[in-house]
Amino acid sequence: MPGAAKQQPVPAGKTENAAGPDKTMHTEVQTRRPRGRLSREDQRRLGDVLQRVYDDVVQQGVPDRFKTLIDQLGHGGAMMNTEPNHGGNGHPVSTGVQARGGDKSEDENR
Amino acid sequence: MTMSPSVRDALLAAVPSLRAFAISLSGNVDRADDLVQETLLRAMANIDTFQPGTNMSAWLFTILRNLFRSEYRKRRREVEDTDGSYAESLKSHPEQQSRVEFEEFRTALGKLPPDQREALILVGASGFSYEEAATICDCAVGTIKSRVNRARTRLSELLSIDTADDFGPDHTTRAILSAGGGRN
Repeated sequence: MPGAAKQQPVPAGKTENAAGPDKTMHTEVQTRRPRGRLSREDQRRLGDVLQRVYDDVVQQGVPDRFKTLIDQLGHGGAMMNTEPNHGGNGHPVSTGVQARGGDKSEDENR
Repeated sequence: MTMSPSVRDALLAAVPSLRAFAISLSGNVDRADDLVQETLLRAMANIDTFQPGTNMSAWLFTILRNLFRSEYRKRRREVEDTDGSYAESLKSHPEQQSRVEFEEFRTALGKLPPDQREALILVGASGFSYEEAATICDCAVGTIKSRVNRARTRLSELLSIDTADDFGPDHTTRAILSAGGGRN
């Protein structure tokens, strides 16, 4: 029976995606902090401006200096000699907690 | 060390958003580009530690963020001192009003504590999930969420948006925020 599948007034998945998280958040905001938070409308506006400010830079693409740099890196050159502001001790540095050698490597260089 | 074409492509693809992130963090295009450059050099020097199949972009953002943080600690005063070079970079924008609007927004953004600023940008502009942002910032997901919330609230205060609709309105600043939505 073709009618059965169409009985749902709104597609279930769509409702969940569109209203689910927002609804929860909204309720929480209203019950817990009626005035201390932004309305959803203001949050959206804030988010829009932030996104536009950010995207304005993204749309500038890749400046030539980075194309050149990446090409140089690709050929195995320029690994250390173009690196700015670095003691150049050549140690591989952990990128997890702190990318720079920090105070320690500075002390070593003195 | 030679670079595989896929790594090269991934680095190139990441540069625009790395720059946007760096500019948002530092408020200064020149410093931001130096940060990006150093990030790329770090990434290549440590490419062995990158696990193929994981998120290259998040990995690069982590490096950049950590570089910025260590620089920030060293030059705290200087970092606060933003100059006009960011506005300079936006000169190409066709709409004068947007430029003013951007400038005002960027100034407010620059006043946020770094923790809040980076969380807001990662989640609100770079498109990372809360979980990814937590990994990048090396903190708990809940911490990111609360930083994002505080950042939004603080930004709205700085831009004089009301935190409740029945509060005294400021239509001028509200217009700034709605600009581009065709409502001003």
